[in-house]
Amino acid sequence: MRLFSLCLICLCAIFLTACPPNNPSQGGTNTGFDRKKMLEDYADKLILPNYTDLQTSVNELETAVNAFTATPSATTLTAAQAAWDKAYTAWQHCAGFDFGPADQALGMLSQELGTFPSAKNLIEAAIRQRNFTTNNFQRDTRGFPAMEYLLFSDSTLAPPAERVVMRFTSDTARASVLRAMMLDIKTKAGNVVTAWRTSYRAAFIANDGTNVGSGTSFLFNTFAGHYEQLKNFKFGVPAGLRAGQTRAESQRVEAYWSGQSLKYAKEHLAAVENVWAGKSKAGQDFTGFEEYLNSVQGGKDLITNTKTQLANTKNALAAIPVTTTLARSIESSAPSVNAAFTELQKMTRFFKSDMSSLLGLQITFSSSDGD
Amino acid sequence: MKIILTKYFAQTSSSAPLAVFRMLFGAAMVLSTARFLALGWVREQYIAPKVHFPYYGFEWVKPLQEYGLPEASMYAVFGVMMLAALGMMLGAWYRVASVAFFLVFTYVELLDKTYYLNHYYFVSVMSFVLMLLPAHRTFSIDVRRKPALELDSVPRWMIDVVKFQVGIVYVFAGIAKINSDWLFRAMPLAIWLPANDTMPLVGWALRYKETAYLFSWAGMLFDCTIPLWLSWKRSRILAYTAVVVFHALTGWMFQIGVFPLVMCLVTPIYFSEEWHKRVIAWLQRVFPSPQPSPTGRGSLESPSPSGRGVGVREILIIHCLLQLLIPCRIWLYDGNTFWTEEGYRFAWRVMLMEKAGDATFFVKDAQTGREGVALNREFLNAHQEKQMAMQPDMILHFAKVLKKHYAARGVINPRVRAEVYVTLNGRPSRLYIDSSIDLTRLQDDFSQKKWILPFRE
Repeated sequence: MRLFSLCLICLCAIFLTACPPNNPSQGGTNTGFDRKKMLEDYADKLILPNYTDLQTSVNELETAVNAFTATPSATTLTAAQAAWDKAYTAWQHCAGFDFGPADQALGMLSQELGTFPSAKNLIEAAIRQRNFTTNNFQRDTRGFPAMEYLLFSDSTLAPPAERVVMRFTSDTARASVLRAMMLDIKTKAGNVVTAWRTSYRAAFIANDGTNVGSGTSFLFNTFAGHYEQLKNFKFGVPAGLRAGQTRAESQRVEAYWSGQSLKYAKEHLAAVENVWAGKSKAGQDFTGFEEYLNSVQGGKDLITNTKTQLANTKNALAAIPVTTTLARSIESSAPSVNAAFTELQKMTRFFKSDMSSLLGLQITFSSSDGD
Repeated sequence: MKIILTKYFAQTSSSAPLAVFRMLFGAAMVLSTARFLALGWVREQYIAPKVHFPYYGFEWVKPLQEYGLPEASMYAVFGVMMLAALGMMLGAWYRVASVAFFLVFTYVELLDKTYYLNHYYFVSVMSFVLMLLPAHRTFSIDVRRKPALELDSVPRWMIDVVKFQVGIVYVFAGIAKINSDWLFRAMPLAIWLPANDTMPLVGWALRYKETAYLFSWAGMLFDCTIPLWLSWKRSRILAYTAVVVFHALTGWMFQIGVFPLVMCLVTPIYFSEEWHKRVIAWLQRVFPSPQPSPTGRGSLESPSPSGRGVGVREILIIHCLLQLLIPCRIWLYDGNTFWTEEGYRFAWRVMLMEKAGDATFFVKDAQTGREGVALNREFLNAHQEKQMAMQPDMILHFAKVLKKHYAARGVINPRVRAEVYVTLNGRPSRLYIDSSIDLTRLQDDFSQKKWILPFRE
């Protein structure tokens, strides 16, 4: 009976400590695959540098936006547009780290900064009524896409720059809304960067298990989610390939107003590949998921399959005409867009179920029978 | 034979094991229910999801809010479950409490097979057995309320039926481990163990392939034989230590919830009568009865004087036979059980495979011919999507959900097909079902599902 009570006490202790939400695994000395090293590499060679780039380009964008709103002209507008393009390109490489400090009060950073298509009518109404705010859940009225609308809308019509400039000069409220959007991006991105630089980097690396809430699980889940965004919302929906759609909805592409959708989609895919392969934006290789997969049973096959499919996907994206916008390609040369979607679709299992299964990563908190 | 049976059924045993079992099982259920509530799973699993995956034949079992009751009523269900578990543990209004627990727990389990766990099934069948037994007639609130209820002895088969129910969980789980992946590829442990290499104390060892083989073989032998070692007096202490170590390790490494605790609390049923009597005696010292010890302690002989015991005995004999037969139905199906999962549930196939799937559903308008991809997460939570993508009956159900949804949104006579890729125990993923077939035309039943593609190495 004494043995029984002793066992029972131990067991209760285990039961309590093994409850999912508070089970950060402790790091140990690793002789096989070193997950801690992998997380360190991700933090120092990809996540922090990418966020730093974002912050730098956001600051430059702010300068350009201030210059433009102070003296709206074709020159200052072009400069602001170029700065926006640079910042938005940098953003493509940060949107996949949607965990930890990116989990913010009104939504994930990727929703706050990247929701598209923007609600043009809501933005115009807010300008007219002088009641623009970023303190609500209308995430399609702020972020980079909303700024894009203000900076680029109608710029595909001739004469482009003049129309945008005219709108800003005819109503000063437009400039203050643009600046409010700018400030919102700067603040929210800044908070995340600061958190990573101060406390979160250590927390991310220390949590080197494979359960829900571990650095590896966070990274994997947002990586898979980021990839799905590309497939479903940058191609599937605008091309009318979602169930229930009766036609293509080309105006729902990303970056509709600037017309650079395809360029950002390619950038997005590059960002996804960098996370998978463990590669910095500059192309420096480090210990990442590819190396991790290489260390587990069945990993080599998956790496080969993934690389083949990545190449197919890139080829399919390259086959979409660059001489026109993605929106127009959807209207005129739909087969090339549909083919790209199909290749992206084929990629899914390699990036999601196969990968999490081989690595033994937990996706949900719920108990399971291990199947 | 008849004489042996008559003799067996005439044997009596102390009622203490049954009472101790009732308290331990009840306590495990109180903890389990509290944990479920505390983790917010009532909302996450039974209120928030838009779609549920019912069991075959139980499609009419739905969360209460779908019958028009307020959402909070699902919490009331768990409140009742909690009270019933407490009632079982304390032996308070036991008949009502144990029947209520069985019904409420089983109701919740039937709502959605996404959350099917062998240990939930175990809880359902165990509480069914327990509600038929006089487990409340020793050291219970009921006895304090009505001293005449108190029993010193019960028919021996009543203890044995509990041992049987606990034992088959291990034995069938052990038999299921006798397969080539488990024994000769150390799969899925070769995947799961290294993923836990950051565990304190033993983590470093989990990285070695040899450890996975050792655990696989040890696990198989443990499951197949542990009821034996627990029954044999001389090995009992060692066997129970092994039970605790085994379940503690698995509980630590894998997300299997309260299962380890439940098993550690039900296995003492194999301990000696004396041990159980000592537990009761100790409890009586800690919680002394306010009334003088009742005089007329009874013993429940079989058949019981009221004649009711006979009915219960027959029900439990049938129950035991069914328990032996149900797990065997997997052998009626062709193909690799892990791949097809036909007859996989209710068969104590626990922690046996690392399987994951990716399912893409294509909804086609029969009139326009336009085909589009459904977004699974628009309908399902992460857990539902994960389970659905590798289980044929769930794939079928989801296809029908999609048909209904899109038909209501103007798609004419929607046809639904699915491209499903499944990876099993570290093998490259393969096409799982016929990706051209219109799933909405199929009916789910117990016959062989011909549209599942054969398993290939």
